[in-house]
Amino acid sequence: MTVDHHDPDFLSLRLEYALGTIDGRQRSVLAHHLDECDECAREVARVADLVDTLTLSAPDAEPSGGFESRVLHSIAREARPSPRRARVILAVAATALAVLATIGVLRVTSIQPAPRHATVVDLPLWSHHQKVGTVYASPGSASWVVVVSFQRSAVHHVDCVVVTTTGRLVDLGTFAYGSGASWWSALPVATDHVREIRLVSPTGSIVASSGTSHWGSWSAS
Amino acid sequence: MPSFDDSPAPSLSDEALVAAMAERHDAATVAFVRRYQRRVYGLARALVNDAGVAEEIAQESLVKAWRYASTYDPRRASVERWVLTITRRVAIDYLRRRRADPRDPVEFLNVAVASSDVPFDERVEHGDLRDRLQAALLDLPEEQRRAVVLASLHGRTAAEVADLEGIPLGTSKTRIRNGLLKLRAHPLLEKEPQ
Repeated sequence: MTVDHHDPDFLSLRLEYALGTIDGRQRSVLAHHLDECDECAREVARVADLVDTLTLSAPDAEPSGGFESRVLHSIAREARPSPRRARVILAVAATALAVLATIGVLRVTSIQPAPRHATVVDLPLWSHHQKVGTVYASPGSASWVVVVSFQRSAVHHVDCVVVTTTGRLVDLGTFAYGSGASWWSALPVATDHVREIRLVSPTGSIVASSGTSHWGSWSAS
Repeated sequence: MPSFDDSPAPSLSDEALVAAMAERHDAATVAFVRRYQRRVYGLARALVNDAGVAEEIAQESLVKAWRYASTYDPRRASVERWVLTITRRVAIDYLRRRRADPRDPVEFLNVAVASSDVPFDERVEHGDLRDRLQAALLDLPEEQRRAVVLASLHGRTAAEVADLEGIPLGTSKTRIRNGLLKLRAHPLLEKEPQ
């Protein structure tokens, strides 16, 4: 596709592509052009990003009573089409409300085995023989980890390093640490190939570790 | 079973919540719905006239977020933007295919300005991205503001905006384009990471 980047008709077409309001034929023609033109691809990405940002401009509004229950009923029906599943998830809703209201704590627990992945596993994080947090992970090869660190600390950011069973070090990136910070990351190795997870300060010292002796026995929730 | 023992345990971050929801953890799903229902319903209510239809849109959006939680990529967008983008798409489907009655495109901004005892200017000065976005939209000439919201949030084509506003197609295109360019260059939004 040969285009004149100053042609007002082309600029309008490109804008409508980014807004998602052009028809299929025009869309396919422009998509082909975007594959070849970095300038247009960048411009489309910028406008699409602005449009997504504009969704944040609407004020909050309170739905009617019972809305939350209706949403959870829909999800429960889709998760497992049985009345029992619906009862379970709504029971969790009631329990979670009570827990959040009284102690402000969210516990991520699976009330019953989920259909696709049976468990989440967890392991404590240690620092100087004290438990300072928890690592949660989904087992298997397409895995993730959630790391929660409770301890107040002078270190506010750490690198999360995975030590594999072959001794390889895999850096997952830099994350917040301490005072209740929690975050998640994809885990690029299967959990049974993980020997240890270390949280390392910017100066290179190990702030917390899952420990190697415990790693082989992820406890199933 | 995961345990926070008696530590001052935190609520999970948005990203961790979606990761746990993707693994079908019921408590995470409940917490996610509870955390986002007002944001999602607020956007739906800004776009359609009928409160019941807005609830249908919000419900469908939250169910879709649950269904596709495993596809969420934190490198691409915040959880808030992700779930509101889903809501926008569901709302556009309702407006276009199911003929939902659209709300006046800029009425939600008037609601936002009047929604607090704190003067709007003060909220913008100390406020979050939402306050600054609202202020930036309100800085646009009204005809551009209407055209931008119709095209971006309501998903209207330039030709449809022309019909709705009773203006020539060329004028419609110009209003949308100029409005978006002004927003992008607005000082209140300049520092926002894109």
